[in-house]
Amino acid sequence: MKFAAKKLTNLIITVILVSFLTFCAFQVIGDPVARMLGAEATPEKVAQLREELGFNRPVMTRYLEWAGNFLRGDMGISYSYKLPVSDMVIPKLGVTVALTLMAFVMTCVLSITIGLYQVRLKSPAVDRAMTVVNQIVMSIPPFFIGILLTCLFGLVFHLFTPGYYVSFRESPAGFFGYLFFPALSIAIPKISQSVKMLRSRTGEELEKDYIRTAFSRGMNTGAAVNYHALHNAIIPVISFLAVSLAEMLASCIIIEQIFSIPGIGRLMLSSISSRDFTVVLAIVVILVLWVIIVNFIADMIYPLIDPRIKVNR
Amino acid sequence: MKKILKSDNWYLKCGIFITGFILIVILIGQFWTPYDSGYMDGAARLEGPSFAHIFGTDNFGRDILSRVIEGTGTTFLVSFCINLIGLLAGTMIGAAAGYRGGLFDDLLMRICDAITAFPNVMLALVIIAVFGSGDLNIIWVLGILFIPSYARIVRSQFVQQKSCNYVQMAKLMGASPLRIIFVHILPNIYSTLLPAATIGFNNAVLAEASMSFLGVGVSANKPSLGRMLNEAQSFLVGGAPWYAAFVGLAIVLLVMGLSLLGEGLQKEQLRGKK
Amino acid sequence: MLDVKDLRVQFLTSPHKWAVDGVSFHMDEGEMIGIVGESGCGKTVTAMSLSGLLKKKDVRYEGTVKLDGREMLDTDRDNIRNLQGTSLAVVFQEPLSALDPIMKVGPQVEEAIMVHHPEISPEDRKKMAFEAMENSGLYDLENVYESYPHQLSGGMLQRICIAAAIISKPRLLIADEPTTALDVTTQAHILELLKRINREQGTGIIMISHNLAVVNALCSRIIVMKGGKIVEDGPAYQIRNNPRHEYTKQLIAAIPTREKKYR
Repeated sequence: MKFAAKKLTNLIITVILVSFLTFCAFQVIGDPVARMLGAEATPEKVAQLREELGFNRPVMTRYLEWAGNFLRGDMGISYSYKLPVSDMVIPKLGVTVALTLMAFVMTCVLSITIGLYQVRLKSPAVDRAMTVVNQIVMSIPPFFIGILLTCLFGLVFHLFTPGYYVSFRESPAGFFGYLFFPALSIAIPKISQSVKMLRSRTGEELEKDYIRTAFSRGMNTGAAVNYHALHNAIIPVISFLAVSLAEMLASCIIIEQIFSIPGIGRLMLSSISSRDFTVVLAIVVILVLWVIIVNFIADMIYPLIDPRIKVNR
Repeated sequence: MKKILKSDNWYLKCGIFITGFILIVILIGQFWTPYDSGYMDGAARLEGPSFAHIFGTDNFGRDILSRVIEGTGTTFLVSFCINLIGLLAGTMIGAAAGYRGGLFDDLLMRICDAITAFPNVMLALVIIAVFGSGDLNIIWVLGILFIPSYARIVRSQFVQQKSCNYVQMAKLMGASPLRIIFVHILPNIYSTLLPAATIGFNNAVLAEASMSFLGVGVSANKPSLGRMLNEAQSFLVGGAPWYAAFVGLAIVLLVMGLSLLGEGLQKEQLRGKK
Repeated sequence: MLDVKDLRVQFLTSPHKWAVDGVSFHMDEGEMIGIVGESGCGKTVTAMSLSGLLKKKDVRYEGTVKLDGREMLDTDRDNIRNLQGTSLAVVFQEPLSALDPIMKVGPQVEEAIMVHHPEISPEDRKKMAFEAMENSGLYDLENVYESYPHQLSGGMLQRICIAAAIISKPRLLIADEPTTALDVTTQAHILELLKRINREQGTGIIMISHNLAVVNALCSRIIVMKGGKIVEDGPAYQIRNNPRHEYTKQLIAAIPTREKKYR
């Protein structure tokens, strides 16, 4: 429990620090006043608007105010759309989270199944073939996988219509159906990485002394893999999967672009190009929170699966 | 060379072959490409592969093969610079942290941990959002983001080597810290750093391609693989899938070559240890 | 019980050198043999081929090894597996790396029973494990059973390994440098334990060591090896007091004694 408490304090400190830094960065660079006024900007008008928006107060007070509002769900007003940022961000956040979680579930299920299949294979030829295929798949970046899947399943097999996003409200089934291939494009590179990891780790474990001990007790290779090597090999794979949840969010930004999914990544990119910094700030802080929380969860999982990590350190 | 051909390290062999092939193509592309990559042939828009245009033409009637060659060069160069910045700065920081230790080391490694916790592309996007996507900004931003991973590797190596007898000997004989770092320790961790640098290069290519795919890469008038793939995407439906296919293939080859090379080198290094 | 005739072992990675070059000896029921020699003399390779642990794809064998009249070398894996963990058990040099790091030690002690007698219930298996652990000089059994390897000391881990080896009451126990990784006091305890197992259970023990003093303290018979060959084989007292081969004399001279220090 001490372990969790310590990690939790760390987590809170990191969140405060990172959100403060992000806030400062956007305050220094992202001064929107001149842009909002456009051509008719006179020094008086700029000063007046700055006063109105409260840009003249110290950064610390503004940060505290912003953080307080943020916790209450008020993320400010978008410069471009004059809408509350929370109204813009939260529905899209749902879409992105759904996409990421779908990709994550696919990754976990498929990488463990395929990985176990390959590790337990009896035939070296099939094993070799799988390694080669895996090596090729691993080299395809997620965005190209997205394009390939669009081409294959969208244009050739007509399993979905590229570009025609179905919202959850319209049809939940259609929503998840549309997200299936985007999620798969995010999942595939991770799957091949973790399958490879499981395969090579198991191979390494099989060379170790404790496997020789198991053999000296009359165990055969298959049993030694199942009973000893796999347990040891799967620990790093599980922590890799947990951490990859953070990276999947980054892949989402790109994949949403390809499949035209109105998620948080698309909103972020369009807000970046229109220099709508309240929106970007809100999204960045949400993404940062996500990453920090995911890493926290990964840290908490570790002692559960590896008895060597001392919990009360 | 003969040694490589004879070795049973298939990763290294394939990696050298693919990367070598790409390098040669890039080098040739510096002097000669089938067409000028900017030349627009209005009469031949979105044409399929033919003898005149082996990879076909894009929506402006430009030769895709020439653009792929040039784009590969751009991607390669940009990634190389990114990786170089990360490697050099990371080695410096890692060496200093690992050699000195103490609070300095703790602090630096904390910062590195914090940065590596975030996906590169996401952080780069945020920074570019703040500073704007200038011509070379992407190189600096990604380069800086590549520093922590190198710093970590170099640091852990330094911590290991620092306690070795040969370093203690050098210290006893009065060698200065700089001499110990550069003359004694660095050459010894070269074999660990080389595969790491190759794998880092591979990651740099992926990051560069992702960024330019999102439209925040190097300037638009230079062909770059990521940006071309983004353009090609709009013509998937328009009946020119080969455009995306050839551009994507170039990225895949580049990534595959480098990752195989990196893994091959790693295997070689592990074998050397045994 | 054990008959080794003209055993030759060759690693396929170095095809011009016999790692074990024509070793023959006979071992009686309940005998305690020590094999000594410098590192690289082939003693460990001998032990590993006796226990069937060298991978078939790595080595080439010649000669015969018969355990209770059953051929060990030229038979298929399954036959060897049926002997491993029943009539034959091995204790290794490094107890920490010889145990699965993320599995509790208790189940690892039971492993031989689990493999060869799946019909025995987990409760009975646990009882057998407790008995073996007690016979190996462990106490606070409940606690130890539930521990992970990294929580125990080297001496305790080696006792665990011995318990795992004797749980199936093997007729032959091969101990490959079982005390080298331990400190001197623990070494003495482990040697004492092996002696007791030999006396009480009648287990034949082959003890591999580079240390003649250790083997001498334990075994009734000593085999001295050099360069893959047996150079001397005889009762311990004879080897100690009246060594015939030059190499054995050197080995004995290498044992540090009081007189030598002051001479």
